[in-house]
Amino acid sequence: MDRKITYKLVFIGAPGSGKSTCIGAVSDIPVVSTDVACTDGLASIKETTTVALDYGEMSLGDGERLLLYGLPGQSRFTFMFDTVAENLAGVVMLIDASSAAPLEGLEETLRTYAGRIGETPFVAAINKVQGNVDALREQVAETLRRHGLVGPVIVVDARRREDMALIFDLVFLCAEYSDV
Amino acid sequence: MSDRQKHIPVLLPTPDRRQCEMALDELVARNVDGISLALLAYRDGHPYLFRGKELQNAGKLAAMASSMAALSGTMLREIDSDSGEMTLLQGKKGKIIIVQVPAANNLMLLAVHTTEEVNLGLLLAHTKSCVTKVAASFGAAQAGQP
Repeated sequence: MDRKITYKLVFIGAPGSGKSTCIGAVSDIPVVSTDVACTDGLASIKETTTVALDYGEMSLGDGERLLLYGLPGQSRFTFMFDTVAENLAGVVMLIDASSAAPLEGLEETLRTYAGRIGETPFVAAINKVQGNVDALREQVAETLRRHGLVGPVIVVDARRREDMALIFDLVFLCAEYSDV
Repeated sequence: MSDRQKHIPVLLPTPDRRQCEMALDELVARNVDGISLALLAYRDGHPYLFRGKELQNAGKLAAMASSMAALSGTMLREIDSDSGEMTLLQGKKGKIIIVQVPAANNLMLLAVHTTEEVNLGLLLAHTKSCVTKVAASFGAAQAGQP
């Protein structure tokens, strides 16, 4: 069996920010999913929630592959980060622009993964965008700075492979040019 | 939706809490030596109640049980389209068994921790008996409603 070069990318973000949808949209293989029906107030937003991880793979050409891990959005599942943390290429923080309070979701994510995000190159990706989000982009950057984090803040449609490739390029740029 | 908010099941069947407590008490205190903990949790990782040794963070254990059960089920489905009913973890110092409660569309899970000397057959039998009682308590709770 060929041993291909692989890179691990982890998606984090508030419940409903689009992690499972994103991995499902760009994965070359059927996504490994661990969704169960919600039993709490989240049920008013979506029927199911990820309780362990989503897993997909995406070809980068030349035999290189991107391994995509989507983690649960709720803080009680923080331990799942440790199960995928080894040899991590980077972290993608998804921010749901369509949410009533996108910054609250970001704050919750930053609190949940405090101490972990700063150890790995990361990209903050504003997803589910309708209209102009310049102000939100600035607020996201400001929120990151308040948490002692500096990294690219971009607007994406996380269902598009091109956007995924952009995220991957940025993660590698961060790894190359930062102290992380 | 923050985890800091109290878990409030929305329009879901509820078990009879007293009967669940009795079932867990019986499992932990009376039936099998070596069972140190029994935890009843919702399928999406919220704790419901536990018996046995003091837990620093029941919420984390409930979430872990939910993750393990989901991963086991996913792996079984990958191989032969089966769904997971039970997950067994065996370490040097003990075992953990996680079983779905066959009621209310598998709303709940029971996680049981034991020391290493526990007989596996006995553990399975008593755990399944406990789960059956918890499942029956859903019917009791509905019957008791006005």
